[in-house]
Amino acid sequence: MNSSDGNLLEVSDVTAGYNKRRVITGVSMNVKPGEIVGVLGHNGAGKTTLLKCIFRMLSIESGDIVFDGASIAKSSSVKTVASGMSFTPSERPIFRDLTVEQNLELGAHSVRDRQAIKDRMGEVMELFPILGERRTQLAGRFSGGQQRQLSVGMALMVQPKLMMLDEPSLGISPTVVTKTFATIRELAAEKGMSVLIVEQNVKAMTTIADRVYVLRHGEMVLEESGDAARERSEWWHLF
Amino acid sequence: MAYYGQIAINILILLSLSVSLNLLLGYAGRVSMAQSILFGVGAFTAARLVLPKLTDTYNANVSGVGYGMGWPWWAALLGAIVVTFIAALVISLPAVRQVKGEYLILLTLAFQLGGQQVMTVWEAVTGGPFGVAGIPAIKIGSMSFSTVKADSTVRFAILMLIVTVIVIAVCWGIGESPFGRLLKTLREQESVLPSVGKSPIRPELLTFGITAGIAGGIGALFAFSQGAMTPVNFGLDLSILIVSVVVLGGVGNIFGTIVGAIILGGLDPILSNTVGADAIPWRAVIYGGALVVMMMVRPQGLIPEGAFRRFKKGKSTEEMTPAEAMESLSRVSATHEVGSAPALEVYGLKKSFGGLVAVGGASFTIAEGKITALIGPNGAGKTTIFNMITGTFKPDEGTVKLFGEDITGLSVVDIANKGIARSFQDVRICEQMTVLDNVAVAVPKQAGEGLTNLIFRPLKTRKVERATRERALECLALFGISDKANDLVGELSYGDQKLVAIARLLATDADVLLLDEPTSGVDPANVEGVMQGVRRLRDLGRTVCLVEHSVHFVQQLADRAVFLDQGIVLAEGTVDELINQQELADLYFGS
Repeated sequence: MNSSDGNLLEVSDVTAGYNKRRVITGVSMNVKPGEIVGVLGHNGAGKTTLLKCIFRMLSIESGDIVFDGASIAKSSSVKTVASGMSFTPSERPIFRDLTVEQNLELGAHSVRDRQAIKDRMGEVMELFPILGERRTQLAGRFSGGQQRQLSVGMALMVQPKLMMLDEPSLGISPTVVTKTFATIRELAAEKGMSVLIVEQNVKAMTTIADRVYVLRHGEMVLEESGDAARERSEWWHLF
Repeated sequence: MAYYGQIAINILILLSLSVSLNLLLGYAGRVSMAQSILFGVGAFTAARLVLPKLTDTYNANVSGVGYGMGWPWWAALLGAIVVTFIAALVISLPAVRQVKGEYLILLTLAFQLGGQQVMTVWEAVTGGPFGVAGIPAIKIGSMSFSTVKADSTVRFAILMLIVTVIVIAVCWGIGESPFGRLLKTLREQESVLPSVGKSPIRPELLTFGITAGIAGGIGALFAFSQGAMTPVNFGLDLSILIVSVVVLGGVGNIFGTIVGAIILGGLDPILSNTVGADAIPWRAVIYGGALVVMMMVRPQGLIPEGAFRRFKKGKSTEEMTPAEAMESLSRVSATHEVGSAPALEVYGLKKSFGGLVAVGGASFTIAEGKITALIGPNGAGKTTIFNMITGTFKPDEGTVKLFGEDITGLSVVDIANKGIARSFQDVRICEQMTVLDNVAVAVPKQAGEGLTNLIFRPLKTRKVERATRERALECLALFGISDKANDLVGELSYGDQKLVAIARLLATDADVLLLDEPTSGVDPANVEGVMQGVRRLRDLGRTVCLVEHSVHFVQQLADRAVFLDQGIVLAEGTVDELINQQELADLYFGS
């Protein structure tokens, strides 16, 4: 059941940080079903912290987070996964010493139905053919771009309503960035899945986003449509 | 009477050993499980030094009675102190180099257990499992001090009380001196000391030595008083008991240790009087249980560090305004010939980690008396350059010049003393210390940081300390936080903590100040205050170079900027000049 205003995710006035270190202050944002939303901002602006709050890896000092109609402000990441969220961190998001198949199975850790796991693995390998070709190889031997594809594949194994990606463009070449982002676009359209992406790569993000936010020093300083963001010529003052 | 005398002696010995360990454990934050074996090293050393020489008239073959050097008791006491001091230096060398935290506990534990083995088998010195007997008592005139006879037991208890008071005074004096301030900084933020130009090695080694020297001296007195002893007297259980006393009483507070020693030391006789022989198994249960409960309920100890701070607060100094502080500080500001050379020149700096090139030949200059920002996308090498300038990393190639002088490859301490001080992204302030102490530790050339000055020139030390504190107060006043001087830094807001870190930089007297992300993590409401603080550094004539990710803040703060990407300088100029270049925008935001 979605909340009355039709948002899948609603973050309102959230303040959070680590001990005394305040990282985000009074942040509000939302994601609608099937929408691709980008959060941009300089290094250290609080983008990853925001994702951690939403995924319930970090407790929030004040504010509320509503996902799929229910407040998750006091929930845990185990429960958020069960309720249809996935989170792919920016660094080392895969298990290097396991094969592609094992990685994907771990991605589906919370799924009980063996047949469903098999079907979804097939889907993921269709989506990223390279994973199918190298299904029995160790993930640690893959290139940065391939590891990134695998990590997105792992997130898809739970068939999330909301997929959150932390800097998917980090450490991969520009052509792979374009390809990965195009795949994300397709996925969202096909499955009606919402995607929330945190990025520093403004250009890559604005090519696929329906809407973007900009965080600066822990505060939301901009919200605009993807179209408007693509037209924008000057970003400096937002960073 | 003699019975109570013996109990008092036991408690006083435990107390002295614990108070001296508190210097190491509480002030310097280094846990040692070897206090008991060092106590034993002192005892056996003293015994061998004081026992009579082997002559025809002195028959060493009497079972258990040894022979030695025949020194007078006071010389044997000094000898024991020196030997344990040196033994501790040997133990602590690896600790000072790289063994920290839990590994130090294991290391000292190994010394304790290994030492016990050596004591048991080294019959020539320790007499093996049977130990040594016949150790002569201390004699002053016709009075003897030992636990062999009733009246002399009471006399020794009084002597031990005097010694304990002296030990407490010494440890308190050291702990609460500028030297103690170094130790506390070492405990809380080890990397800060070199960054303000002070080597952490000497104070750490000395503290290991002093703690052990006191244990050795007490060991000698123990040997003289008992007349006989075996290696069993210096087991691991005693080391654990000593650590327990310190932890129970409160680390970093000598008075807590006194309370702890009385409680744990007094438990034993009380139990054996009330429960009798059955008390022995219960003792361990009570000790262990008490520690577990304490750790859960009051981990800081019965009388925690800074428990008396509130009483000291009374003395309020006249508040200084930032303007007055500015005037006062500008007088002591170090000066260079203006315009002779740029404050900082970096030429062809390179650094790789494995195959990854972090900085690939960066060259730029930092103008004197200006605020210069290093900007660029993530991974541009900004912090790595900071680390090379300050000596944390040695550059693979290239040079760093400070006012024309080549400082490439010098140590962190040397570079700081040449006049470059840095702050850290994660503030690295000492939360358990007062705001004033956090800043005072950075003031250069403090007489009280040397032990010889503390002992032999107390007046000079006190005078210098007064000047140091005044200096620290001025630095705090410049940022408008001198009213918080006596608060613990841990109680301040993050914005104020950042200001304390900047005040600490200022207190070093360095000409070039490197700030690593001064505003990150600061509440938006307090950011302006921090930026104001950075500008005041410039107004004082200091050269500031900062890394800051928010271009928005750089625009407001910096006079000049250096744009880096992948470890190479792409452009230098004013911030506005740089952000008008399309190539830089493409690099920053993707194209």
